[in-house]
Amino acid sequence: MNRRDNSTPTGHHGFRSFGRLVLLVVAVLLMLPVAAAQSNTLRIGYAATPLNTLDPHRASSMTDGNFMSLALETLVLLDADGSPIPHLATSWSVSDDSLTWTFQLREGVTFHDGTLFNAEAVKFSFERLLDPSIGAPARSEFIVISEVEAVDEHTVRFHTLEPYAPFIASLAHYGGNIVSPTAVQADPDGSSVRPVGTGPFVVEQLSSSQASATLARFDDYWGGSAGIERVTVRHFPEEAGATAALLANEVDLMFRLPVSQVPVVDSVPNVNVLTAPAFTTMYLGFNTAKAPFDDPRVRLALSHAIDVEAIHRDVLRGSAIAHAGPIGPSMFGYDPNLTAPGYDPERARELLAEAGVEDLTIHYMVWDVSDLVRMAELIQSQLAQVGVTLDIDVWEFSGFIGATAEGEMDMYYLTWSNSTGDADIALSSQFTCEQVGSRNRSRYCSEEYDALAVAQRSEMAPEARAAKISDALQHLVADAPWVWLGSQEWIVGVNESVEGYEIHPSGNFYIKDVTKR
Amino acid sequence: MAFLVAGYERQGATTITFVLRRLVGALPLLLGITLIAFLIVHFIPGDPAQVVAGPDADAATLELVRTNLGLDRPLHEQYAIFLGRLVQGELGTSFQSRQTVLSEILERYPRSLLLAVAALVIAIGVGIPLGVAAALKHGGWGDTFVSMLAVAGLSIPNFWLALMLIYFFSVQLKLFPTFGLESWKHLVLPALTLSTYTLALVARMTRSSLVEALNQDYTRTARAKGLRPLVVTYKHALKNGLIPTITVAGLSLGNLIGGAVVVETVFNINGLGRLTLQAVLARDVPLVQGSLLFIALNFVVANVLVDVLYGLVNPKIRFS
Repeated sequence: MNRRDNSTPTGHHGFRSFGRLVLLVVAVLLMLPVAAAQSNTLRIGYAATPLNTLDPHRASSMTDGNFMSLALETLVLLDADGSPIPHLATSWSVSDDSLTWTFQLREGVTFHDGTLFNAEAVKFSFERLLDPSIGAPARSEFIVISEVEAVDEHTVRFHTLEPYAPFIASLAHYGGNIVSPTAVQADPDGSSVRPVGTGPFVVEQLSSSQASATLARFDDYWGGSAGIERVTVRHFPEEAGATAALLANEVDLMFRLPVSQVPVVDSVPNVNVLTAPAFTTMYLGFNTAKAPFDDPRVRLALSHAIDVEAIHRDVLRGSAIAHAGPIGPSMFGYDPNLTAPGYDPERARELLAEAGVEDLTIHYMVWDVSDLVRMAELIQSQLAQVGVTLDIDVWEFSGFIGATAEGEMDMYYLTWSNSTGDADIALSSQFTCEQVGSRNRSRYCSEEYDALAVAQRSEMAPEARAAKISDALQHLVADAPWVWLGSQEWIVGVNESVEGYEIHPSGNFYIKDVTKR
Repeated sequence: MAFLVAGYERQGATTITFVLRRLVGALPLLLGITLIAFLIVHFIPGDPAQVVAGPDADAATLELVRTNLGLDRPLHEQYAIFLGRLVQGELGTSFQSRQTVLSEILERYPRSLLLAVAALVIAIGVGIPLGVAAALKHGGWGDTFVSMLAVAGLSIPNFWLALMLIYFFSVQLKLFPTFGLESWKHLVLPALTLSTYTLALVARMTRSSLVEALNQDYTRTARAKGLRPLVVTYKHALKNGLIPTITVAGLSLGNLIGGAVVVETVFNINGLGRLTLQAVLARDVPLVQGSLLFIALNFVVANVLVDVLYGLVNPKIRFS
């Protein structure tokens, strides 16, 4: 045993030993990684479903679409209030019969692989999207396209099966991203991990984890090169881990910060929490094919029995926007005059009595996220006030989406994200008879409503169309297939060193002009 | 365990035959695991095609996805196709990422192996001395202390420990990164967290077997011969008492490689455990089969390694 003791500052050589200890600590600290200070790399973390693919023709999740926007571009873009603006297309027009859309394409645009962006590339991308052998999940949003025609190098024409007013907006959907035909033909599956587009950043690799990606600035970007050199994107599967990374300055920006972590992040001086309305609507759906939920009175009664404000306040910590119907304020077709049933337990009891419903027990399905289970418990206590029992059945998400599509539940919670900022996808996919058994989980089916939903699609004049959308929405709100929980907000934690970042309502990353101090 | 004490064969040659025989013998087990994995993913609720197509796919798209992935075929046919590929050394392609299952696994495996080995080194490096100390101070305060430590190691949840370590060492002291596995500094906290359970087992196992060995006749004989206490403890008692410790440590290697899901999640390390978990959650059938097969293979290899180590520690043990 070595008896000389250098490590305690209280020994005979206390002062010298202490000095050595300090030196040692300093030396160790110097050797440690400097966690921050990669000034020209933007380190994005996200706490949502993990990235699966960056191939627009394989993706099925909003998260995939959000990160695709770093590298891939669509013909049109939505501005902050949801109206379409030029992007890879500079202008467009529609024929008199409303069946043909002609687009002028931006000139001088190159793909990351050096090939030229042109009408053929647009044609190729949409034909791949619609190709049955690919089975693109986003295909159903574009099924109205009958033919894509490359008129000349910079003119492309879309022929549609029927007049379809939201066509322009639908082009902003991630399925409408344009990919390099050369790159896809060379390596079709490679597009999942290294998609080649025209955007301001080049995907170097989506890591095998499928949850993180590295991107580098594209110097030949048509809009001028980006303010930052590199972007890293990393998934955080665990809420507290995401917060720790943000607080330890190991990420600059935490996308979709869980609402439960906001108070912690808020208390830290150099990190700001930004919020913005999202195109994502939250709802409680009824299985309208099952008694007694096939009776609109029962659905309205339950809508009156649920205190949406309390859910927003106690579960979502105020991070939600209340509105009636599935269309939020930042989307085309929003109708501020719609009123939700509103919290009124007295009215709920009356309606239940009127419908002759007693001792109602509801089989409620939700998936295993702590906030959602808390929400379920709150709803359970609210419904108990009107004598209704809520039987909470917690699932794992993959099982949940299948079982709810099959209609195994009486009532369920789900969100619905629109990436086009237009009311149509919600109206046509979530409530029409045709979609019962797949997207229309509430199995709502009304011929009258179907006619209204179809009518707005072919109305080309925006104002007239908004009025028709409003008719459809009124019908829905009166019939109450869903309890309208309003829209979600994006919550993003951002380090002060990041300048110029704004949340886009779609969640997409249009961050070419973002810089880092 | 099928090793036996036997004659005087040449150790090397028998070891190789032994290892080969064990690996070949494990084939039915591995095959069985792929079948179980296949059946589990298909029989738990949740349609793999629906997960790939997303909750918002219409019926036509869902059917296209189902056909394209071959999920419309009868189950026995799907499994036969998997086996056919396996014979050719292919594990198939992930439904989600469109990359080959093998490349997905191999990209993650080094991280998991590194983490597991680091945890094992900590467990052995700290656990054995602790166990020895406790055995030597048998019944004293040091023994009690080690026992308490062992109970803590076995019962403190990794999840909580990981968050505490992150809070103190990363957020407050900024000594170690909170996530990832890019340098040795990234390795410290996750390896420490992951090691606790095995460390506790190793310490307890070492203590109890050493206490027992110290009371054996051969130890008494060694002492009686007048050997120094250190030699008696380390050369005679500990070497013999190490067999159970090797078993515990070696067998835990398989667990540490495939079962580090919690540690990988909290420290955001994309290892094999999380790959498997994500594959199950996404109903990615080929990936579930492939990763479970791979994890099982690790267990088999760890078992064989343990048996080989027995022979090295105690040359009296021979394989047959």
